Amino acid sequence: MTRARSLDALLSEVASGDQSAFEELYNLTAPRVFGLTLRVLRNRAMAEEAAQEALLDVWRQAARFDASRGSAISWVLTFAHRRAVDYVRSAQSSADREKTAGFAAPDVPFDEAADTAMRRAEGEQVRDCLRGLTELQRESITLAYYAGLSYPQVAQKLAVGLPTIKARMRDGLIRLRDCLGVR
Amino acid sequence: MIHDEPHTLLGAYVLDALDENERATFEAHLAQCSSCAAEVTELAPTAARLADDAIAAPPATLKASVLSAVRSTPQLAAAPPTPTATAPRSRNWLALAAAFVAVVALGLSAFIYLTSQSRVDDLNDQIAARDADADRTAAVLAADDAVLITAEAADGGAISVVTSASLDAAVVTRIGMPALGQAQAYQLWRDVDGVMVSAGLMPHVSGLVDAIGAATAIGLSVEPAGGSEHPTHAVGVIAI
Repeated sequence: MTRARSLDALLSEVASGDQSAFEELYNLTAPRVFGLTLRVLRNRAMAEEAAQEALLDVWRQAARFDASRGSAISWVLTFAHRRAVDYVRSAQSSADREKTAGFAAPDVPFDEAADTAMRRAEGEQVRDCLRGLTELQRESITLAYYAGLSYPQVAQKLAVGLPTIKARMRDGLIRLRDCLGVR
Repeated sequence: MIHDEPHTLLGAYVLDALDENERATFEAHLAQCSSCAAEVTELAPTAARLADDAIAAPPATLKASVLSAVRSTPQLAAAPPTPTATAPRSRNWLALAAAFVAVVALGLSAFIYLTSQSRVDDLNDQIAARDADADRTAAVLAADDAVLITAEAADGGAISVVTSASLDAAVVTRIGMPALGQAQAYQLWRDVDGVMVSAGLMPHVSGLVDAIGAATAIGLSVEPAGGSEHPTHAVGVIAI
């Protein structure tokens, strides 16, 4: 919670063009921002590029952060996830178009071995809560969030109808929220 | 259908699992459905917590490149409030676009901004802010004879000017210049025969200056709120 409060304050300093506040914000958020883009893209070069774009989005749009609409870290990570997903989708479409198999091949295993100590500690609660979902809820959420799949792709992969996938994403998130106790 | 169907996409929306068209449709729905907007606000931080299990040490090059890019990247102003949020008049693309503009302008939620094309650029933001000048601004920026000039501003930051002789107008943009309090305002000027003639206040990051044919330079100054008859504190004069 201290982190959340200070990120809010940092964002408002960043909004007034304070570059040192931005550096501090970088230090606090970059492991999650980069970790998330890496998890989705599984390619370090692309992940770095997506993370850079996301962090620049934060810089550019800092004045638009509204603390009454959610936490600062959630706001920052929204940029990271959206950028990563954009990359996944454009890589897919260019691979479809050009039939190039080697485009942005993953160079990181899905469950990367590095940084496990830090991740083990920070990610424990969310892993526990994911385990508390039904299998279909968990698969729907993780394929969308960690692999960047669209819901029709998730449905296809799990061989389940679209309405079911949509419903499991939503009720899975609600259950996850209750378990995590986030507002 | 109009009310129920988009609502079922809420989870997929929060997880970024919609394509662009579905996203736009969903946002048009969000603009009219406060309970949906509240649920999105509630579930977005839940989705973000999933990143806890993805933490990784970023490469040192990331920090260097981000901090260096920040130095030359202008920031956007806070989205200006608009008097009314308009519902889409009809279910077509223009209506969706209008709904999106209304949502952005309202500052409904940070999450909603992101859901537009995530690459909504400064220009689009400015257009959303001031539809009166929007067409003309866009036309100047897209003109075949558009010329870009940038100059450092006296109090920090920079000024960019895009001129179009054929359209007889210029678009002036403040880059990284300090925000002013309520007591002060930025004001634009045209230098006509050595006399600075007011071209109006500049409440947004960009402003339009007309009738540049007669002008030899464009000026920007900081004035008391409401503006002045003559520039009192010039921060930049750009010859055109």
